[in-house]
Amino acid sequence: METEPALNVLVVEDSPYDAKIIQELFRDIKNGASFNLAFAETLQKGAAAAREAPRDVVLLDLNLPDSYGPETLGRAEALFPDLPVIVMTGFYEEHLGLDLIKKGAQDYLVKGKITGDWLAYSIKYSVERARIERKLRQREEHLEDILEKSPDGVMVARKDGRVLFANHAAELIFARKREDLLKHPLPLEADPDKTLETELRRLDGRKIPLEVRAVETVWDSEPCRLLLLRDLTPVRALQRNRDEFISMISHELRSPLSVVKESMDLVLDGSVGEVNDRQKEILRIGIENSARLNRLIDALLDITKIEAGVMPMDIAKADLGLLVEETVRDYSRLAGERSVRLAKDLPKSPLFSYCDTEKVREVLINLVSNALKFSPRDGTVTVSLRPWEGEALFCVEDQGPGIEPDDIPKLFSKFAQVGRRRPPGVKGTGLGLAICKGIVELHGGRVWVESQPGAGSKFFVLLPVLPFEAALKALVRREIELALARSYKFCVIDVNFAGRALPGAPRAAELCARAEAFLKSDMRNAHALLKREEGDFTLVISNSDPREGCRACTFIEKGLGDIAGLGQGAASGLTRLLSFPADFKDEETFIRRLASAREA
Amino acid sequence: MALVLLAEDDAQRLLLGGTRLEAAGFEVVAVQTGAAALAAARARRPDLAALDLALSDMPPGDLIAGLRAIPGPGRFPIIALTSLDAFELHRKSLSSEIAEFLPQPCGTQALLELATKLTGKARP
Repeated sequence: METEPALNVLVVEDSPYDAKIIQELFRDIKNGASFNLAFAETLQKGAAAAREAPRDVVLLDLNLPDSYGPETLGRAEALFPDLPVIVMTGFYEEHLGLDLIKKGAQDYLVKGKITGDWLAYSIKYSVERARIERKLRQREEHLEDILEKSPDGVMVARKDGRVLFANHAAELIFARKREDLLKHPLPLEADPDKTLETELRRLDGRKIPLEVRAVETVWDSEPCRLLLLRDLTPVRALQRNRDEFISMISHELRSPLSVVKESMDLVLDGSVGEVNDRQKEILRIGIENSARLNRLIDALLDITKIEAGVMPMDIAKADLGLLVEETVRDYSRLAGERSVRLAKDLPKSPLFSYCDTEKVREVLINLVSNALKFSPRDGTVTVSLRPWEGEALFCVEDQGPGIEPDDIPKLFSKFAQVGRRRPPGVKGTGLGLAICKGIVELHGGRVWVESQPGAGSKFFVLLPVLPFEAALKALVRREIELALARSYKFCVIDVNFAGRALPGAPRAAELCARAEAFLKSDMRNAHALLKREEGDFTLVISNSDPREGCRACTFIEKGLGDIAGLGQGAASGLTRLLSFPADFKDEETFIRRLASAREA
Repeated sequence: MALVLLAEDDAQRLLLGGTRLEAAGFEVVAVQTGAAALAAARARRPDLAALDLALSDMPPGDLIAGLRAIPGPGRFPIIALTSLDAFELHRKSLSSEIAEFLPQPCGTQALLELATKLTGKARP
């Protein structure tokens, strides 16, 4: 039989009589186990004894000179943190038993009722149980440590959104204490089937780009979701560096390319000597290709600006139906050359929205010219517009070869000319659809495609129909995000030229047009221009403090004053300046401040 | 024949711009630095100056002030070759002396058109 090592028992007992009885009980133990006993009369002496030599278990009397009653257990646990404690009670304390177990005692024995064997079993089981508990606790601590130190947020939430668990990273992502997170429903959408990229709007106003993955789980026998959250801010920062790099490269490319084109132009038009027809033909190939390269660089710059959030915007009230009509008209000749019918389908009543007309036109042109490229001879391309749940739904439909289902998700990515077999001779930049998507999303809209191989394609664009204030609010929100991300200031200038300078003026329409032309050329590098109505503008100037904002106001007032023939004094009231973050911290405050500034 | 002072620090662009203007009948003094531009303008007053605003040896404000300090009848127009807009030049206190802007990079055809417009002189 295997002999077990002797167990070291520390008896904390102040009564010499009881101590003697215990000693005798141990002497009676017959089943081969051996125990080494040590005695202490007080908790403090017990603690000292435990420090002196390793102990396996503590037998504890609750009533000691330095501690009396049930509290003794708690004190003992603090003094012997890793040791199992068996409480010895008198008859009169027997009722405490269950309570003592709940509070962490491994067992309780009533003095005078115990036998030696009973005591031996109790001690052995207690030691073993304590060992298992210690292991479990260690494992739990490890798991907790992993969860707490994980840079990814981990949360468990019920189906109704109630949060049941959140780790430290989740606290950091939400900028909220755990207790707070557990009190509120989860402010996130999560789909158990896919990885979502979303933006978390924090209470402190910051927007956190977030990757959310969810799996079904069961927590306390309730179906729940386990969510893994990754803060994408560092990833985005890398992207920004990359964007700046691309932007720099683009400029570096554009400059020599313009020299190439210019050189060939000069030779082609005979400025530096006679050129024969053969030479001209060759030069034209060079010029054509440099133009193509230039288009590619332009597209690259556009997509970079869109992705970096710095695309300048020029927003005005647009008749969306008219936009469709103009696009169809502009492309009907090309369609005719390809023997394709270009049809339009417009709503009965016109649809207006504040948007960047030229950019939306670019989207339509892109979709229509794509549709024409892929249309078979005698096919039809239909461009339609209709109201759709308060928004405007454009659709460009062709009868081309359609798109493989696998290619559809890649279609709107950069350089993804995967969608369809290109007809010979068709050379795109590979950025057209990515730019379309970017432009539509800049307007808070959505773009998608429905297609089946052999059954044509339908490209949809859903644009929100925005009144002026909503468009302005969206723009200011975008600018605030940009300013926060790059920690700079910006200014918004309200220019009510028509209202403040021209009431009842003759030629008001012409003067307003000249004012618009002035703002668009002389302030062409401003970040955004919104036209509320003729002669009424709002201008966003990125990266400028209030002082520079004031200079801009003076500059604009001078320019507009000249146009309207006003003296300096009369022109001085034409603009109102609001500066971020001095005058407003969010778009709601901005709208209120602007309204009161306009009333003043 | 109108005399154009063309200042541009890139030698190839300078050659192309000068060639375009000369082919259209302008006389061109082509220089690559601000100092050379001032020297040329002092030696012979131009009818028009087309200036790259990013010359390496001299801030554009100094160059323009230097040109304006040259005595002579009236003020010859200045075209700015720049990627800035009018307001940004105003921020740099440059706008008042500049007649027209040519956003960079631009074709020499645009330069020719502006030069023709500002001097009122086409091919003789």
